[in-house]
Amino acid sequence: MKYRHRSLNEILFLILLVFILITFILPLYHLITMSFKPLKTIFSRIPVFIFWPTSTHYQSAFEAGFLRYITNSLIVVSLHTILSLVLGIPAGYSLSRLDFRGKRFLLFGIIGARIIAPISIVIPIFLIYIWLKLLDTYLGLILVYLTFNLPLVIWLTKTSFDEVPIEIEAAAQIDGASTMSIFTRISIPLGMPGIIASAVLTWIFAWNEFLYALILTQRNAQTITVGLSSFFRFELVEWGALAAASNIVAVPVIILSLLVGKYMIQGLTKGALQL
Amino acid sequence: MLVPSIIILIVLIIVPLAYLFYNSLFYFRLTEMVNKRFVGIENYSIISRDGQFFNALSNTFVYIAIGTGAQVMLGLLLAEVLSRKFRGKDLVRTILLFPMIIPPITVGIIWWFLYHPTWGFITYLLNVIGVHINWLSNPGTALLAIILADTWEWTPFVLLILMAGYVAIPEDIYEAAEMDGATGWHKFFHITLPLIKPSIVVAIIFRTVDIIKVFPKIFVMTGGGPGNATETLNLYTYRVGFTYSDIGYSSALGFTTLLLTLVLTLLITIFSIKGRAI
Repeated sequence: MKYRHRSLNEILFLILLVFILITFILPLYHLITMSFKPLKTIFSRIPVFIFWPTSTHYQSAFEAGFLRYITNSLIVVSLHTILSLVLGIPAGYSLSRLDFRGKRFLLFGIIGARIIAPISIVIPIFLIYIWLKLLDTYLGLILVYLTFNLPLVIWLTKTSFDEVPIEIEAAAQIDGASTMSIFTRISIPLGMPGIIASAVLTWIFAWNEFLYALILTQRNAQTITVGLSSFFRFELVEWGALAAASNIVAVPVIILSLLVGKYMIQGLTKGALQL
Repeated sequence: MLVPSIIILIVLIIVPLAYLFYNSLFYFRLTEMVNKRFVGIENYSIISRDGQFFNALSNTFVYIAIGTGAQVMLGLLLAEVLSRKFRGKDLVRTILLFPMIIPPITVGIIWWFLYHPTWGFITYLLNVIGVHINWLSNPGTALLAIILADTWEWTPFVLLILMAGYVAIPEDIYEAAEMDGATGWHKFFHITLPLIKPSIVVAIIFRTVDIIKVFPKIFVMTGGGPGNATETLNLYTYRVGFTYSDIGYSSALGFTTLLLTLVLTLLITIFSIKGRAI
C-alpha cells in the first residue's frame, strides 16, 4: 500500500515538473522553430507543428549583412571580458585579503553600482564620448560595459577568494614564495569557480546589452542586439529573417549556459545572497 | 591591485553622474544650442508638474508591484515544488536559466511574435477560448502583456534566489513540526515563509531595481505605446533625451530616476527590518 502511494506522488510530481519546463521552454522553442518555417507557415492563423524546414531566413539574414554585427559583438564582448577580468580579479583578491579604513564603504559602493539605471549614465556619457571621439567605436563600448560588469567581477571573485583558506597562502609565504606567485599559483586556481562564473556572466551580460549600444553606436560598431532592429524596415518587418537573427543572437548564450550552467547558477545566487 | 579598478569605476560612474546633475541645471537642447542657459532647479519643478512624468511614474510602479508580486508568488510555488531532491535537478535548473539568460531584446521579440494579432500563438490560444484581444495595441492590456513577458523571463531568477534560501533551512525543524502534527500548509506558512523572508526581500530588491531599468522589451514590443500606456520612467527619459534631444530635461529625469531607485531600495530594506524586529 505504501509503495503505491509513493508512486502516485512521484507521477504527479513528474507531470508538474514537465508542465513547468514546457511553460518556460515553449516561447523559446517557438522562436527556434519559427526561424525554420517558410513564411506562409509562420503567417497561418492556426499554428503548424509539422512543417518542412527551410534555411531561407538564415540566408536572408546573412545577405542583409548580419555577419558584420556578429563580428562587432564578438570583438567588443570578448575584449571587454578580458579587460574586466584583468581589472576585476586583482581587485577582488585585494578586497578579500586586505583590511583598510573605508572598506565597508567601498563594498557598499560596488554593490551600489548595480542600482544605477543605465539611462542615467548614458546621457552624460553620450556627450562625453562625442567630445572624446569615442562614439561608435569598439573602445567606447568596451569601457562603458565596465560600469556594470566590473563590480560584478570584483564582487564574485572576492566572495570566491574569501573561501580560499588564508593558511594555504601563509604556508606558501613561509616557504618563501613571492606574493605574485602565491597569487597566480595558489589563489587563482583555488578561486576558479568564482572566476569562471564572473567570466561567463560578464560575457553574457555584455553580449545581451542593448541600451548603451543603441545610443553609443551608429554604423561602425553596432552590435548584434541593435542589429536586430535593422530588420524593421519602413512598412515591412522581415519576420523570418528577424526570427533567424534572433536565434543567432541567443545561441551563444544558450550554449554557454549548457556548458557552465552550474557555475552561472552559483555565481548568480552567491552574488545575490551576499546582501 | 585594487586601485586601477577603483579609479576606472569612479571615472566611469561618478564623473558621468556628476555631469548628469550638472546638465540637469541647464536649459540644454542639442537642437537649440544657442539657447543653452543656467536655470537652476527649474527642470525639476517642471517635472513636478509634468503629466507625462506622472504617467511614466505610475506605469513604473504598476509594473513593479504586479511584476514583483507575481514573480515572488510564482517563485515560492515553484521553489516548494522543486526544493526536494530528484534526478536531473541540475539539468532542470540549467534549463530554467534560459529565459533570464537570453538577451532581453530577444525576449521582447519572442513575446512580440506570440502576441501578434494575426498569427501569434497566444492570440490563437485565446481565440480558442473565444477571447479576442489585441494585447499590445490595447492601452488597458499592453502593460499587463509586458509584465507577463517579464514574469516569464525573471521568475527563474527569483526561483534561484529562493531555492538558495531553502537550502539554509534545516530538515529537523520540519520533522519536529510533523511530530507535533503540523500539516503541509502549516509547515509552509509558519516555518518556511518566515525563514525564507530574507531571500524574498533580496529578490524583491533586485526585481524592483531591474524593472526600473527595463528597456529593450518595451522598446521592441510597444515602443512605449499605445499612446503612453507602457512608457515607464526609463522609456520617457530616453524619449526626452534622444528623440527630442533635450539633454537638460532628460538629465533631470535621469537624476530623479536615480533618487527614486535609492528611495525605493531604502524603503524596502527598512520595511523588512522592521518586520523582523517585531
